[in-house]
Amino acid sequence: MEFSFEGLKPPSSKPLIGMLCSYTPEEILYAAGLQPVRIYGSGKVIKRGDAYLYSTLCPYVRSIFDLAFEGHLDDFKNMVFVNSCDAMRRLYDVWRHYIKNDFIHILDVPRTASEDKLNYYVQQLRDLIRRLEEELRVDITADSLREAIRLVNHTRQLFQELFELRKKDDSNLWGSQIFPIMLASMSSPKESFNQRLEQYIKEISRTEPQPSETPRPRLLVSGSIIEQAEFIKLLEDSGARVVAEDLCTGIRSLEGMVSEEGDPIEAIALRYLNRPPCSRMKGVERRYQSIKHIIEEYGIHGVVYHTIKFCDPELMTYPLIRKELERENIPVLHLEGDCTMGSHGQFKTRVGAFLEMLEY
Amino acid sequence: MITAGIDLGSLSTKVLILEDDDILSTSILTTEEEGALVAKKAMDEAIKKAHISFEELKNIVSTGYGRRLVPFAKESKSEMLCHAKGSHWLFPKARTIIDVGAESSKAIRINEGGAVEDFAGNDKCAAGTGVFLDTMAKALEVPLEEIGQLSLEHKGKAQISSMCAVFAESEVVSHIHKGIPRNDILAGIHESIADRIFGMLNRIGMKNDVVMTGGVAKNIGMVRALEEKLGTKIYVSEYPQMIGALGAALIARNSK
Repeated sequence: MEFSFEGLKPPSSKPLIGMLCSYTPEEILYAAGLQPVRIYGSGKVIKRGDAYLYSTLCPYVRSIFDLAFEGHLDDFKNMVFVNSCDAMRRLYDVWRHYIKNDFIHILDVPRTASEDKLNYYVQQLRDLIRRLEEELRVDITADSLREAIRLVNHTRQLFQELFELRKKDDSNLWGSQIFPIMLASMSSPKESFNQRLEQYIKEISRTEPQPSETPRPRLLVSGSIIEQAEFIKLLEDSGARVVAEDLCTGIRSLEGMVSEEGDPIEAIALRYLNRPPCSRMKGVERRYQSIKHIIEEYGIHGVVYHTIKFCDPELMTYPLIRKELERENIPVLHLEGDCTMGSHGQFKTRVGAFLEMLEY
Repeated sequence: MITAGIDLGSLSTKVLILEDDDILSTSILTTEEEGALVAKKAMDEAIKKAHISFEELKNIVSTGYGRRLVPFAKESKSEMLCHAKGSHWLFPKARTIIDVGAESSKAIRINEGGAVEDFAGNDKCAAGTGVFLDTMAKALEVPLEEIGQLSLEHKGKAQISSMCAVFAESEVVSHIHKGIPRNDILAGIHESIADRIFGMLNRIGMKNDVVMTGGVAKNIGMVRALEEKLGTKIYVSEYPQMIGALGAALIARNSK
């Protein structure tokens, strides 16, 4: 059963708006009549970008800037940044200076969901809406917001159905099949994407689960951003089955619905501050609880904790998460990548040894 | 029952043939051509030495970075597992294994039964590995086999502070130019590797007894520098570079 990615390109009728962080409220961008597209790095060696950003900065951020600098992102006349982390703020700094855009905005997303922060965030969202309306001459109404909320919620609800299928012991869904679908969900027009996903889920639910070959350990991949499905494939080629991805390109950004009742802006604010957190949010406890929840729900045998070189928030969280997981006797393997496939050879040996250690 | 283990490493390929609890033969060849070819040559040599035919081998397990390139292996296992099995068989009290090969170094923690509990390895970096020592020996114009002994005869220790093998080499060159005795430079080189391994051991938590495997364990200066750093005795077998192949042969024996 194959998911068809063909023709999921953004329509030429809508202006594109680029986004880089899963804390970007897509609903507002859809309501503005824009086509939000999540931008992924090139996976290649960085060329000119390194002249403008330190080489000890997040390779994802450097790769994005390199793409922009080389003219590969010229179609994105509009950009929304988030103050996700220090590296992302530095990207915004150089971007503002060197790359021409019609519209560029950085959204201040708070790190907790307390009442004050929520009020502050609602204000930030209203500011974003005001700027979009004024500078791009669009109208963002309560009705268009509600419609956008229903659209994005539909994607989340479909993924929820898919996740339920992956939770089953006899599921023969491969992470390397599902992960590219998640990546596509963030960079394709939701209207056509939802139809494809609905069709795909119908088809895979119809097929009888085949008696699985030899049992495989069920892995959770946790980390910040992974943009390459090859990494998931490497884990599965080594003998595992990847059943969950606690990533900002994975289930973390697809969980949690926006309420379709009440004030739409407040509803959006509530969902984004309360969804499963990434390591940029305050308090490692919430992050750990969401990992623990996945471990129980998906019957996880081992965790692969993937960090990107120089990612301070993620590397700082790692020892704390590891300690908690060790207490629960869940084995963890730490792998550090640089957003290219250069390290995949070394990964293979370590993944092989890790899988031999697991009991399942 | 006769089984074989083959360890296709980045620099050398090792084969060990085992009959029950006896080692019948070993062979070691430089991995300088295509993996599958070297594997076959090393296997042929070991078979010849053991006076058996290939058909008498009941099971063959491969390991090492090129373990998937061995066409005649029935199964392949990671280096961590094989070094754990081999070390545990030779030294039943072993709980920590330090494996330093040509291009990789690893620290492995095992339990009473010899199962791997945790491990850590070097990244894409040559510092703290055999090729690093080889490069340093060349820079000092000393045969690789002699550097360990020479390092023991030091009066002081030259400091090698760089974590990078390329930068460390330029540090060594400037020590040479300053006229620092090569014994002291060698002692400093060995200490810098010991520091790296110490860091890796801290990540997994060291437990006694400690065993060292891999070709670098033949370097007495390295073993002493590590013993000093860790404050504990390090056990080394008489053929440390064969432990991976031994572990593979043991796994081959036990899986049938």
